[in-house]
Amino acid sequence: MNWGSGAYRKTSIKRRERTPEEEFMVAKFPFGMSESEWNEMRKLGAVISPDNWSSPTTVESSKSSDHEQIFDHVQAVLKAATELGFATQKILSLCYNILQEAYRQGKSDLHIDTSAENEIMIFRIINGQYSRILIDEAGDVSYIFIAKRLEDARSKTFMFQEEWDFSEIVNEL
Amino acid sequence: MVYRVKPKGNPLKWPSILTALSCKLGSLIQLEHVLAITRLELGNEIAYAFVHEVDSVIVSLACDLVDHKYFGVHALSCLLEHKPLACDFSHVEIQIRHVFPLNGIVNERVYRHVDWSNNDFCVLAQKKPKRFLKDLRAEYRAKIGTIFNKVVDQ
Repeated sequence: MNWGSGAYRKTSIKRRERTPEEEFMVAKFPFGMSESEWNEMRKLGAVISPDNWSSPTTVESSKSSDHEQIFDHVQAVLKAATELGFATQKILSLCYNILQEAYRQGKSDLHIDTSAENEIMIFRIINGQYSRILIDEAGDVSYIFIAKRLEDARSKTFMFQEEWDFSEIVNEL
Repeated sequence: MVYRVKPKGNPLKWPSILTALSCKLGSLIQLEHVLAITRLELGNEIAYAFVHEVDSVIVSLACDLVDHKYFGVHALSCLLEHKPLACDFSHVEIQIRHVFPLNGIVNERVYRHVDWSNNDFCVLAQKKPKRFLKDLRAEYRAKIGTIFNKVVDQ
């Protein structure tokens, strides 16, 4: 009886690993997005492939942790938008593009939350100062910098537009 | 000094609306109010600002929409109002004083909590002119957030 070959055959079948994009596909479903919505969002320009998000200078060893971090941020944005009741393609696409641009600029130390005024809040904490982007239901973006000194506090508003220059927004962050 | 209890690590969640920011005036706090200060539902961190900082918050912005009824320079500042509660004599609220032109005539209004739902009275709560009012609100939030960007070490 040849037990060995059967056992060998069984263990030799490797399960194909999910691509990062498939991981995102799996992750989005709990938040109620269908596949067609996903595809539509991609057409709108919200490219959510983590390979595109990583900085070109990122070394290979840190890539997987980057992916995890991006994954967490995407989930947090979806959660916040769902909580606030405006998880629409327009808003999600906007948020993803902001996240993508932030990663491209090396600003990956992001926190995501909701503000008390029903906005999705993407912010960074820099030396005890708070640099935050707020996205409201209409897709308008406000930038607010909470500084240490009153004279350093500043804000800026970006009204929704179809063709955004996301680098302009994220440069502020 | 003025104290404000807030959730730890997130100074950005407040104020829920811009006006009637609930605080405690340091000079009026008494021993029996300490429990009221540390009510857990309010948060677990105490932020503070100096009264002169509250007084120095001034937001000035011009509405440049010619022919609009609000055309001209708008100014927002803080007004500290003592609002004692049964459990807390030190309770104060920071209201917003708004000086603005209305059809060329200068108006002054103080917005309190109840006014926020009255869009006729509270210009800041109005939707239009959208860009201008968003700028004005954002600038005020940045400044009021900044003066309270200090926490008591516990």
